[in-house]
Amino acid sequence: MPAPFHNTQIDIEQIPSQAAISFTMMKKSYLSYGIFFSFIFWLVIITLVILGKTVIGFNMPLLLERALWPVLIMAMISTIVYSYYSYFKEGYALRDKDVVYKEGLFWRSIATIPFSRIQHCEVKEGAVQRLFGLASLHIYTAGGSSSDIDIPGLSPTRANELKQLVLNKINAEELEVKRIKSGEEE
Amino acid sequence: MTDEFSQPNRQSIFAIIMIIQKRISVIIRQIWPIIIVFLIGGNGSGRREYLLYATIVIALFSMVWSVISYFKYYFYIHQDELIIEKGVLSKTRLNIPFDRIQSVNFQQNVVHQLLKVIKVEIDTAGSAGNEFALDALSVGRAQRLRDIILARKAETDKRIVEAGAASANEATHVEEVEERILQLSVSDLIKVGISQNHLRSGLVIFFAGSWMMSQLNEVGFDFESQFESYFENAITMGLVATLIIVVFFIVVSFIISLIRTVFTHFNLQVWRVGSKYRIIRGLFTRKETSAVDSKIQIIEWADNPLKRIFSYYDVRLKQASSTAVNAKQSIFIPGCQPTQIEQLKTNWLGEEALFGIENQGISIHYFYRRVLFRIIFNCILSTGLFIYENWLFWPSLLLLPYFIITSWLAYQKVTYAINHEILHTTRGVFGNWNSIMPLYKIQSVVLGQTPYQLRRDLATVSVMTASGKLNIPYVELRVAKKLKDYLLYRIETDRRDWI
Repeated sequence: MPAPFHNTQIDIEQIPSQAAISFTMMKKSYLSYGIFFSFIFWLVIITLVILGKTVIGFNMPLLLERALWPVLIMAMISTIVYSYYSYFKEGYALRDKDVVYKEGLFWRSIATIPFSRIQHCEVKEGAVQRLFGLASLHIYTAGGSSSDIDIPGLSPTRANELKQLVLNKINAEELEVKRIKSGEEE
Repeated sequence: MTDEFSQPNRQSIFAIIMIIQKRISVIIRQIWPIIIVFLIGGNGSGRREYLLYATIVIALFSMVWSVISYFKYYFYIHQDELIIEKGVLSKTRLNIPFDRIQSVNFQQNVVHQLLKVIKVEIDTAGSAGNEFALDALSVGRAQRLRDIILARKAETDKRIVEAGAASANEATHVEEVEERILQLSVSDLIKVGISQNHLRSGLVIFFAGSWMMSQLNEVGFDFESQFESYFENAITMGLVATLIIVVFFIVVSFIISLIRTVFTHFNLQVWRVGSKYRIIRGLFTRKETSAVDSKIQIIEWADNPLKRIFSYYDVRLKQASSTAVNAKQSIFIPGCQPTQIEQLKTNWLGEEALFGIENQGISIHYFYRRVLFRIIFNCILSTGLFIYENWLFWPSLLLLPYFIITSWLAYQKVTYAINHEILHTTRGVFGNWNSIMPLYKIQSVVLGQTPYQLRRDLATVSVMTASGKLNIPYVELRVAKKLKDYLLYRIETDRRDWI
């Protein structure tokens, strides 16, 4: 049944802008977690290379042999630097009607999910994350995994608070829809 | 009238045949290489007999099993649910609430058609694998079941919305208006078949062929040696023979895709029934699918240079799905003419939603970046080829103009249009792809910037829906922000259900 047709003009300047949002940064230990993670990642690779050379006796051309260690060390340093700087580009914000999450140093993105479109959300705590006292909030939408967002680097209590807040918002939203719908019918 | 289904019902007795057929086809799919070896004849007659006995035992067992499972399969309607009870050893009871049911689809293969029964598929909004099917019901019973389910579903949906007494008139069955939007004759279908993407069907045949060969290889057929001798011959036969083979391959894939199109879409009809589309098609397997307006998230239509000659478009009605977009959730309708697409759009979105649509282009940097990346790729490729084989360097340079032309076409074809109600995007290189959706069905909005875009104050707005995403690439950052704010404003103020 079509709703009554309204077409009031909208003042474009009055639409709430996202430019004014101030984002909350992730917990400080998330920075150390990121650095630790990239450090471990390259450590594993370096170990594998050493094992490959000594145990299997893997030979490589001279040019590669000379460049190997500088390249590995450089890669390690640059990923650590990268994860350091990208920490400052990551953040989340809650508005009255939606959740906003931004990330990325070179490839930037700002994702926004309205509460009315959230299917459910859950708090995730990985084993390594827990070592750093971290948890993440995963927000599911109907659009499949490509439109879900995962807010990492929260303290477990904060993550649960956020989850509760989101759930409350979803419920409030549903009630509102019901109220308006029944209002329209009369 | 619901009495018919209030008691536990069995399916039509012919369902046994369908169940057996299903089981056999599963078995054959798993062991067909063995069967072929068996038929052609390997060596060792003793093994052959064992195989024969094993096959007979398996066949008998699955037949008995099918019969038992038929007698243990019941369905009925209880309150607001469709209930299915099944299981031979372990019993399962499935409750499918009516408001979860998205659509009830019919399917008839040749056997169904001969026996005058219908396979009923019930599609729910749940996660993947949550589809239920009744293998065979007589035509009348299937239609009655569908009508009851859909009517009861409408009732429960209404109750959930708390419609109250005002809309009680509506609930008591307004005769649904039926209008045919599209019907394709065989000659239409031949045209559609001719304008298929033959490259793709060629690839499908190629991969299916190589898959079959690898399966046969596993059970001990030696294709490789045969092929080697064949290729040696090909070289000695020279270029002409190879060319003939290539042409033959193209012709075969052309004919196969033509036949496939005519068979699967035979007598395609699209009907507008109330607030849904009903699509009927198929020669050997007749399918009747329906798509409810509310479940459709995006309508997509596309052509290619061949289709443009006949002024045909392929239309896809993309429906919401909880997992990633699978082919099943997207209903494919070939051979639509522009007027019919207009009709589909206005039926779905309403006339006033389509007012004031003005398509806008994007930044020229889209072209620059595309060309830049392809030039880099081309340089790497050419250098590689140069090291590998000197003379290949020059032909590889010919790719450059191709890349530039296609990039230009791609740039020209990306447009977007937004009004208060809908979003329309276009893209394509040789063909034209169009997508249209109402703004209130958007799930989330992402504003992204690549390093290249960052330096030039550009951004890409990605609009996520319950059936895939639409991109508005390479617009000015200022505009992108405005767009995103506006889209969010529209989603958050619109209270209509997106499904």
